[in-house]
Amino acid sequence: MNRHALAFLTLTVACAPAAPTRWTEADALAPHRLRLDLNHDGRVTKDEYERTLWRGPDFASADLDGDGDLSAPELVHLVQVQSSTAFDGPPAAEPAPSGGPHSAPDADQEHVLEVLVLLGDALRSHGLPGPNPDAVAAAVTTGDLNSPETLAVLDTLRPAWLGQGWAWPAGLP
Amino acid sequence: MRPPIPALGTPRASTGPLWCIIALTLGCASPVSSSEGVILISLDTLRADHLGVYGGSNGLTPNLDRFAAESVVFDQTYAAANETLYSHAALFTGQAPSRLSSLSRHFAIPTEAPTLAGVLTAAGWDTAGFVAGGHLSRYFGLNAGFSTWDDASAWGSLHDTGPKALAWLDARDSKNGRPFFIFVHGYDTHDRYLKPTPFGYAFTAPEPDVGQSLGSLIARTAGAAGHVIDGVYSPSIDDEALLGLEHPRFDRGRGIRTLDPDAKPLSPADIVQLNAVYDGSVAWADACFGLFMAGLDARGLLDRVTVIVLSDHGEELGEAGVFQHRYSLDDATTHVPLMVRLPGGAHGGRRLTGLTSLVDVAPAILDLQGYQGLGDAGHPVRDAILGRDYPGRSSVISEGALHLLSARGPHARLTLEGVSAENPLAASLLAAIPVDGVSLRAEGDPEEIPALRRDLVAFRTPGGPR
Repeated sequence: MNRHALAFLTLTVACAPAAPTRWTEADALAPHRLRLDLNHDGRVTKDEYERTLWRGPDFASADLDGDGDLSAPELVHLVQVQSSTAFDGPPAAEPAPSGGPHSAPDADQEHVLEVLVLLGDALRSHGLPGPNPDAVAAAVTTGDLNSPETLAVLDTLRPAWLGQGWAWPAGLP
Repeated sequence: MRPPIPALGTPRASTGPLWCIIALTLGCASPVSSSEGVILISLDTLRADHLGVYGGSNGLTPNLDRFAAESVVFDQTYAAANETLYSHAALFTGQAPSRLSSLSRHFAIPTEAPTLAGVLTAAGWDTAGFVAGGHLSRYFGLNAGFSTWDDASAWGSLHDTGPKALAWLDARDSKNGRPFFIFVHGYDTHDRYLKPTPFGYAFTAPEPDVGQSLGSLIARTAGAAGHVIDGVYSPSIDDEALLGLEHPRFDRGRGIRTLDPDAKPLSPADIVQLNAVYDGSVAWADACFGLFMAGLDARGLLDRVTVIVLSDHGEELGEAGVFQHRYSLDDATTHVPLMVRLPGGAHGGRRLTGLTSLVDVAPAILDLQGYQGLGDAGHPVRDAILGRDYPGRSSVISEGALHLLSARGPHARLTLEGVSAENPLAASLLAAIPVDGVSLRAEGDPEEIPALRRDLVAFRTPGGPR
């Protein structure tokens, strides 16, 4: 092989990116599954799974083929079927806390609260009164930006908001 | 204990043969042609140092680490702000947040400000954002320029937004010839830290009181992490009161203990547990990211699109007596991952140690695609992605809503606390620190501090650098 051919081959090889291996769902979760295998025997058993349980599906429903081992594809399924937010609470065997400052609202309620609080803050920053706290609480309980309770709060904010020369947020009624 | 200012590593010496360097120089440094699409993924609140590729040692991120091997990795990227709204506004516009609006709860991107999505939409791209609500909900205007903006997954995860993005790709008419830009976002590592089975307590040492400890309570309660000040959890102080206090490290703890009869100090075990549950959230984010990448690969897109992964800010995990991210501009809250995977993984594994700001990302993305809507052609970050030398910025400026301003150099940081409209910072003040209402904290290499001071002055000068 002459020098020119060698140089060409060198350039070709160097410029060609090494083909990455494929990304698959099972491969993505296989390393995470290993963390659950506490005794490193290659299997994720009911005991090991329950050491991590936080109001998730019970092992029997996660172990789809019933072989007593949570496989990587079964872990993929477990991740995909769970809600990313509606899982809060203590382990299933313990009573859930109720009321008080530590009870977490669900995600929809948080969303309503966030919107109303931030709109209220914007008004207060301009020396204007914010919404009535009781009305906000009632709206948050609905967890729905379009509920009558939420719309009632928005109706109290709208004139002041527009009075500041801001456009009414496009997504709001 | 404050985290140390890390010294930048020396650039990695090439271990490959010399011909490889020659070949890259001669033949492969030509600009990457426009890709069929760009996918920008923001994993909210993800600290860089928890990824294996950035030195994390807990093995939490096998998928992100694999992605790094196929990407150009920026080792020293810092956020322009420590909160979601401001940081993403900077990301989308290429401008410091305070250039856009005052850093307050009514922050908004001015309608006249050009944005990454706006430039691409105007150029005929299909643009879509799939975000997890909160401060990225449309009420704050970050949907500006996007043709599609789905923010219905309130406080959700890449677990929710990733599949929506894939469904949008499936439904899109790929024969229309238009390239696409997708922004995908999730609050996967944001508080509340606890994530679904088995990523929550999988990373916590078994304890008899699991679910009952103060650490557990904070881990599972939305917003609770932000109520830890000076190592004390204060559930009864509302957010507005917290935000009304200035100088967090010096006054808040005393104020909270006075104001909140329910205040409880965290034990060392609580802090360990919170760190462990945060680790679980990082692993959860990695798992969701891996599933999303599998979805892209199944559609044959990874050879045709550019994928960028970053975070908008990090998270304090008790180092300075606080959790959450709004109380400081330390590396814990501003050092973020930034990885750019070109089509086919070109230039994969390249590591860049130069300082980079998230405000560099949008101009570089546009420049890669041949647009200059947010900056001039030949952006240094674009050139770096394409294989050229990258000295990096002299410093990165970060801002925070609690009157925080910081310049991060290669080996040092200069932070001002108490910077506000009522207390404007100027060169004369900087020369006479401390002044009334402003505290100054210098960390790291003293020789860098004068340059950082100059950069801060320049930043505060009207028309100064971004």
